Amino acid sequence: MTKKLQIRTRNALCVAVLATLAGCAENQAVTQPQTLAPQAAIPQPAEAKDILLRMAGYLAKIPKFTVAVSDNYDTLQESGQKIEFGEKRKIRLSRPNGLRVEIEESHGEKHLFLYDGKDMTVFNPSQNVYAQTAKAGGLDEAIVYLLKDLHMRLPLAALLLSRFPAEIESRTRSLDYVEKTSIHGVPCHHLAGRTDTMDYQVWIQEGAQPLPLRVVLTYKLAEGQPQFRAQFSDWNLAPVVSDAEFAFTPPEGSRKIAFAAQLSSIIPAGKETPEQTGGKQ
Amino acid sequence: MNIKLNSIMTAMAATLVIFTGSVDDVMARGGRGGGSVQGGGGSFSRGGAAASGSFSSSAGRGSSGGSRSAASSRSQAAQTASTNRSQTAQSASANRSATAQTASTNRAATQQSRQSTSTANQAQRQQYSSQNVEERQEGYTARTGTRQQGSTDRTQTRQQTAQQYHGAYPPPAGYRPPAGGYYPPPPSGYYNNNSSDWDDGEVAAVAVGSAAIGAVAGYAAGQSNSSQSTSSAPASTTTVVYSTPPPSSSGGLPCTPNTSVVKGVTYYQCGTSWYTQAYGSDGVMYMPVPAPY
Repeated sequence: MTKKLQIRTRNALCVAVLATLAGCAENQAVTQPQTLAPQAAIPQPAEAKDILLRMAGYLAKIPKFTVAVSDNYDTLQESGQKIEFGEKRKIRLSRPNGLRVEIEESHGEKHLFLYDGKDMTVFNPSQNVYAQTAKAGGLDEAIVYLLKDLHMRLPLAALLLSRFPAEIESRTRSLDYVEKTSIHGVPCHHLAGRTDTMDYQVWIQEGAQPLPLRVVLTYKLAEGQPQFRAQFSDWNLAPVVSDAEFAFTPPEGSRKIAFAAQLSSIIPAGKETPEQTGGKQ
Repeated sequence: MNIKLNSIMTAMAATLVIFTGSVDDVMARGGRGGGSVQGGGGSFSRGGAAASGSFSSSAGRGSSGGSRSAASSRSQAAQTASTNRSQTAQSASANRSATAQTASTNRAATQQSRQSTSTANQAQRQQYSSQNVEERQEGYTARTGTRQQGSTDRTQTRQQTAQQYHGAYPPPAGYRPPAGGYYPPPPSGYYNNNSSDWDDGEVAAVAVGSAAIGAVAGYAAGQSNSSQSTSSAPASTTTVVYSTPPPSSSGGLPCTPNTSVVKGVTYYQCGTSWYTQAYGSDGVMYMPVPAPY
């Protein structure tokens, strides 16, 4: 009697399981046509290029803006492990001569970069030291000089240039429209481009203000193909700025040090007497 | 009944032993592989191709030396920064020595693989090129030629530099550069002045000798702001040597240094090695320099 009951129970369970599985299959069959349903027309590469260049041109012509950037990036360690670091930056830009970038790295270290049309300064408040060099010529020249000659770091620096449209166009080898999507509720276009040395994705706000909302860079030729990811927020295209924000006033007790790239021209050559090196100051 | 109970107890004990073994294994693995747990986060390199956040990269072009090698040199810089926070002079010295060995090994490996990397990159570039229109191919071929020429030049320069300095970058403690010389730049990153890829340098790629004329004029390194009122006076040739450590920011060095101020520049001496502070892509760091006197 008990055995019969057990067999019945087992059979009932089997039937239930089969029914459940059948139900799952049915559900899949229902959802499948939805994914195959015709989608809205995806913009073609030509449109993607228009969207990209519209963003670049728009950004390049904004006379002044402020924006917050939160970024993180992969670093490949000796062990082969990828570790992510990040930083937050507050950017204040006033063309043609003003740039102020407040940087806070993920471990709390802070830096301040300033350019006022005459001098470029990088200040480290925790050590109360700064490096400064004269650089006339405006923002574009200063930014290129900072990276190319001083070998300093300014992520996404190209976006700050007035010639950004030409920069991005000349480097892009192919460009695709990925999808129409949204970031924090803001409708945007998702584009994917490729250059010789890196692949990039950019999310551009739809509408009259085609601002970048997110950028992902993949260094495809670098070992481990590390990525740099940045989110833009708090765009303000009409900030109140003053020239004083871009000039550096050394804080009390601060020390001036050299840019590492300029050290060779500043530190006297070795094995010379102090008198011999006097002319270098 | 007793037999059943014994069997159950035996099974439970065996299970416990298996679990204990697994835990031990995990801890052992963690101990070996998770050096970061003991070493602290400061031992991780913060540099690399992606740290630049640039729209171009020199990484993997064959002439850059590879990111791993670059990471090695950056690791030393990061290590200097990390010692600034927590490490003792002894551990810093030991770590630096180990890092120097690693850097040497990595560079050797990188040199061996550079040719194959270059070939692979060339193939990859050709693939990209074939996907483009003919007009673009022509431009690309021209650029490739330029890069190859640049690569050859840079390779020769690197070889000459390597022959001159014989060793890992940065050299181990105690190594003294030739008179008037500086340690060679890390084998990562290069800057092609003729290229539009002005932002393709990896972070911490500190090159020497690219200083702008005129930068010296306004330089008053090492002088405190409070004493800048005297900076217009002729530079004194007096060397002031402090036997006590500087008030701050000495932790990044492998010892408690003697501090000298020569012509307004602050030098830190550890044994026969001299350093000064400088601002690089990794932030404020100590750079090895020739002895000031």
